[in-house]
Amino acid sequence: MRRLLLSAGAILAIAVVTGVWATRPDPLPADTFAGVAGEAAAGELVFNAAGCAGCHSAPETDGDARLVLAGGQRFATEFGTFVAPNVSPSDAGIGGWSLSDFANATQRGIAPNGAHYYPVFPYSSYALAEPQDIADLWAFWQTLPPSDAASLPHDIGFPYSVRRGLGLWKARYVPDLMRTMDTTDPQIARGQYLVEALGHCAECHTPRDALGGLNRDAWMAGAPNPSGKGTIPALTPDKLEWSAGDIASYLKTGFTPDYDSAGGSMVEVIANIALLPDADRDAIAAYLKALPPAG
Amino acid sequence: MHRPLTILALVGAFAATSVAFAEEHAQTPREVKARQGLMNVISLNLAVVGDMAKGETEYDAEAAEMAADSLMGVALVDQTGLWPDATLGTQSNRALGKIGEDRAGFLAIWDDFDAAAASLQAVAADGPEGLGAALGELGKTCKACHDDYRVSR
Repeated sequence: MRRLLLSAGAILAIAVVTGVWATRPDPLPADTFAGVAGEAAAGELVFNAAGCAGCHSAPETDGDARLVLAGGQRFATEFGTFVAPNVSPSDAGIGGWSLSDFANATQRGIAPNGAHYYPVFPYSSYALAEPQDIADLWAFWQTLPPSDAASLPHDIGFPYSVRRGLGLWKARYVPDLMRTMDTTDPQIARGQYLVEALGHCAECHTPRDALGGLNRDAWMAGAPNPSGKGTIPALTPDKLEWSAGDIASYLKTGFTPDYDSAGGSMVEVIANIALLPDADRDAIAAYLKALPPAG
Repeated sequence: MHRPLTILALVGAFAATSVAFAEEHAQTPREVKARQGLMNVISLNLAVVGDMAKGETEYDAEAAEMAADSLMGVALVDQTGLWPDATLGTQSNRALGKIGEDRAGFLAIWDDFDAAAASLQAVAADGPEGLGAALGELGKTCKACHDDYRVSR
């Protein structure tokens, strides 16, 4: 009997150690930003391309008010309702963070205290961003207005409320390199970076599996709308029949080729992407036209 | 198995769907048809000037001016009778109930559309250079109204 108890104890101990090990946070290497100096002016483009204000501005804001990252927008999903936090440079936001804290949050989904963030925060896309862009973005962040609005808790039920389990999710789903396409064309490569890393377009335009991970075999093949009715359209050239010019124009003006105005979440996306230079919207269009067919 | 029965059921289901479709179509209120027609007139004429602004079609001063005039024509249509409460916030079209709750705000955006159409009219025949900026202003009024008063999808 004693032996049995000892064995059970040992198995439990191994299970706990394995579980703790498998779900541990995996921060960026300490020397990631060695020799990298951030420039605020360059960070503005990264900010717009990454769509930070799209989720972190207060609900229903326009124009310069979008630069106040007070949080409060709610995102209803099948896992529960997430509320965007205050990430402005203030005591109520992330004013006390270092560049390393910021990079681990945006690229590894790890809070300064080591807790995992939920993947509603698209760190699995931002993981692909260049250190220089993250440093520039963080420099730009310091120029944003502060907000003292309190961050509100998410409304998430068990078992998803146990953040530790996200360590397993990350190990399975967070990519360590761009793997959808190999290209030597600099314009397509720029588009790939804007779409796959900063723009995190696949987060909505690629379907997910039961655990909420992207199904990379159906890259940009369209998906059910994560926040309600309808579907998110496919962007592959066999499904999206718009020309490259149509795509670039839509992302700038908000007009579809039929001259309807954009709707749904794309209104918010276009508010950000319209601020990029024309060359970047052309690059996004070139990348989308180069995608393999969804079939 | 019950093949004839299955076929009968299928035919019945098809007939029921067709009747429902025909009924819904016949019952589309005239106000809804009218405003959907106006939206189509807007998009067709925006396409004329928009494609010129994008350089996809060759600039044609006369065609640009006629398109701008048509947009102005839509702007001049009185909207007060086109959006009765019974046609708002229904499943059959995208007009939100908010239009009925905030008629002043809704009509104010039509006034903005009116002003933007007039600005486009003023420059349409002067060459392709001015089209983009004027269309941008007009587009803002489309977006403003659609963001607040149209079912988002």
